[in-house]
Amino acid sequence: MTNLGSNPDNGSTDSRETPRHRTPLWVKGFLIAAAVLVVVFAVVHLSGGMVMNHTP
Amino acid sequence: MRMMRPAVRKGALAIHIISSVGWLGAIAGFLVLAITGLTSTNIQLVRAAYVGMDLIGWSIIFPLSLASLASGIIQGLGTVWGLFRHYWVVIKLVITALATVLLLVHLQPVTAMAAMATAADLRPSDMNAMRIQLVADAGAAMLALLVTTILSVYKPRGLTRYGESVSAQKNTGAGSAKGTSA
Repeated sequence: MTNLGSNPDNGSTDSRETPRHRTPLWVKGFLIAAAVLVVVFAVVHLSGGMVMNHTP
Repeated sequence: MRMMRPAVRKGALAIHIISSVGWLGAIAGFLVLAITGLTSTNIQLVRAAYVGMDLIGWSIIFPLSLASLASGIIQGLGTVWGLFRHYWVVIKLVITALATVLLLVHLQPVTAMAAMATAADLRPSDMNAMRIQLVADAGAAMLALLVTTILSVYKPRGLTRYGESVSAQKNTGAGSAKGTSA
C-alpha cells in the first residue's frame, strides 16, 4: 500500500503545520460563570454576610 | 501509565460512579439536615440534625469524596481519556479536588456545632450565621457535584493544548507505522 501523505515536493505543508489552539465556547462560558461565582462568594464573605472563621 | 484491561476498567469505573453518585446523595441528605437545623423551632430536632450532619459528614461524605477523587484519577490515567487531554476531564478534576479540600475545611464547624448542640440547647437565634453558612456550603457542594455529573454524562468536546499535542503525536506515529508497513 502506498503512503498517500503530503508530498514535500509540491510545497504542501498541511500535515506539518500545527493548527492554532482554540478554546471551546462552552469552556469559556464555564470559566466566566465560575469567575462570577468566586467574585460573589468573595463579596459576601468580605461584606460580613457570613461568618469569617470556621469555628463557632 | 498503561491502559487498563476492559474488565479492570469497568470495575474501576463502577467504583468511580458509585462513590461519586453516593457522594451526591449524601450531600443531598446533608443539605436537608442543614436546612432543618436552620429553620426548625423544635430544639430536639435541631440537635439531632447537627449530630446527624457530623456523623454523615465524617463517616460517609468525606470517605466518598476521597474515593471519588482517587478513582477518577485512576480512570483518567488508565484510559484513553487521560487526565489533562480533555477540558471536561480537567474541569471535573479541579472541581472534585477543590470540593474535597473545602469539605475537609468546612466539616470542622459541623463538628463544633454538633458538640454545641449536644452540650446545650440551641435556640433559633443561636449561631445563626454559622447555620446559614452550613446551608450555603451544602448548596454549593450540591451544585458542584451536579456539574461534575452532567459533565461526565455529556462529555463535551474539546481537547486541551496537551491533548492536541498527544493526539498529533499519535497520528504521526500511526502515519509513520503505516508508511513503514507499505
